Amino acid sequence: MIHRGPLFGTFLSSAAAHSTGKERDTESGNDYFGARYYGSSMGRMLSPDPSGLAYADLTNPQSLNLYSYAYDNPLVNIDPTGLSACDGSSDDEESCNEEQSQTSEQFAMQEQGEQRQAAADKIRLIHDPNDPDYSVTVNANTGGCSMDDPICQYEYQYYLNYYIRYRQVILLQTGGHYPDYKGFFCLGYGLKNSWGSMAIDSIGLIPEGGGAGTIARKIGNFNGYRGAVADQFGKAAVKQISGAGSTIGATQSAGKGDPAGVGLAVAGFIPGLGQIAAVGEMANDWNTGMGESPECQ
Amino acid sequence: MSVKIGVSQRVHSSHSQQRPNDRSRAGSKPQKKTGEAVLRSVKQSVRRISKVVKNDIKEAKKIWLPWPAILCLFVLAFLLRGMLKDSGLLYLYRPIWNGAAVFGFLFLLKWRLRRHVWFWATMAAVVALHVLLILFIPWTNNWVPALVTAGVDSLDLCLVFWILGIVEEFAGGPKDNDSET
Repeated sequence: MIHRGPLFGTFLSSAAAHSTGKERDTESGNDYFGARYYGSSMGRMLSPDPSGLAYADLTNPQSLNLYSYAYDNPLVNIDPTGLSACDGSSDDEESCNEEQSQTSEQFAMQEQGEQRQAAADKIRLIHDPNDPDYSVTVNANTGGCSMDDPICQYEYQYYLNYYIRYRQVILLQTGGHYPDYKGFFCLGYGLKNSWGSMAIDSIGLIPEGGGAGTIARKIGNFNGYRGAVADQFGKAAVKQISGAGSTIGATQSAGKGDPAGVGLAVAGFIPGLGQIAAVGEMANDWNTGMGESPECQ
Repeated sequence: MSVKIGVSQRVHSSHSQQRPNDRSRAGSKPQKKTGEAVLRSVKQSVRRISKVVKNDIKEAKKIWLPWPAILCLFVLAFLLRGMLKDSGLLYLYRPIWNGAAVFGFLFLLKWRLRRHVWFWATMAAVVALHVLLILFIPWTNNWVPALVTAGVDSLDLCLVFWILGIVEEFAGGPKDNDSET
């Protein structure tokens, strides 16, 4: 039997059973489709499709409308249970009924809330950061959810469908990138790609007080000095870097053939500006590093 | 009368005879004096301006941002860069950020002059000049070490200190109540 849909809410008959073969509630005027009611006066379902976007088809925008009947194309599609529409041609009638009956069973399963939740908690969703297509892997077995369990099996399929469709909808909305993925992972990629330039730029942040002593000792040690001499050398360097840099210092460094010293002296001329410039350049480096990753484009 | 006239005539004649000499004497000496005075005045002005600028630089060197402020600035820089990138103006990020830093320092250090019209007029001119430079210089998106940008910022700040110092000198210098915040 082929169920034909109503013509956008226009019913030609006022009998109890209508063109879809569904029973009409005489008091409310709504048609009962099993999973939900159809409002004949409005030409739409009274509640959203309980299967959500699991059966959304991006080639058909109407499939994203959870209130439409048979994708708003009742001449071609049918929706016997109110769960999901399918092609109503005679060739597909059997498969559609089969699909609908499966969906009905799944819908019935939704009533088993606690069991569903328990199964869902065991299912692991795995994002592969190296996959430029942002695919999601649903792995039930690793979470201890056995595929022999029908609820587990249903949940597995539900999640798989849901996330595939969800991802497609997000990609469609954002014009090609997956925002959660980008925001979360790309900060790490940015650091990985730009740590060198960020380290060099962070020189301007070296404090005058606080950790300056430790830094001074390390700078002294790095230059081959030990003990008090290292401290003295390091303190002089830190002083130069963090504020006492001057034209004289720059000239002296230039005289010694020390370009780094010239740079440090000029940069440290006004240390507060050096800090702000360092912050700005570090933010720039980090962002540039994020942009260099193909996954974050 | 005649004597008087004669005297008067003599006097007149002596005046007419002496005038060129007087002119040359009176003309050369005061001119020399004026030139020296102007030179001295200019030297004094330069000395005063450089003293003011040195003092400003000394004050600028004392400013050191605490870590919370640095973190806030980092977030701000991240947002600014993101906004400019989305608008296709990424090449303006560096000049805008560093220009804002320089003007932040300027206003912080010269806020005592806020009641003077010449201060705002000069600042408007300097800001306009910076906007022109920002828009018409081909800035790079490539990596530039912060040491370089900090050096350029420092030079820029010193230059604007000098400009303000010169204007301040010609505008009569700061008043006593300028130190009030």
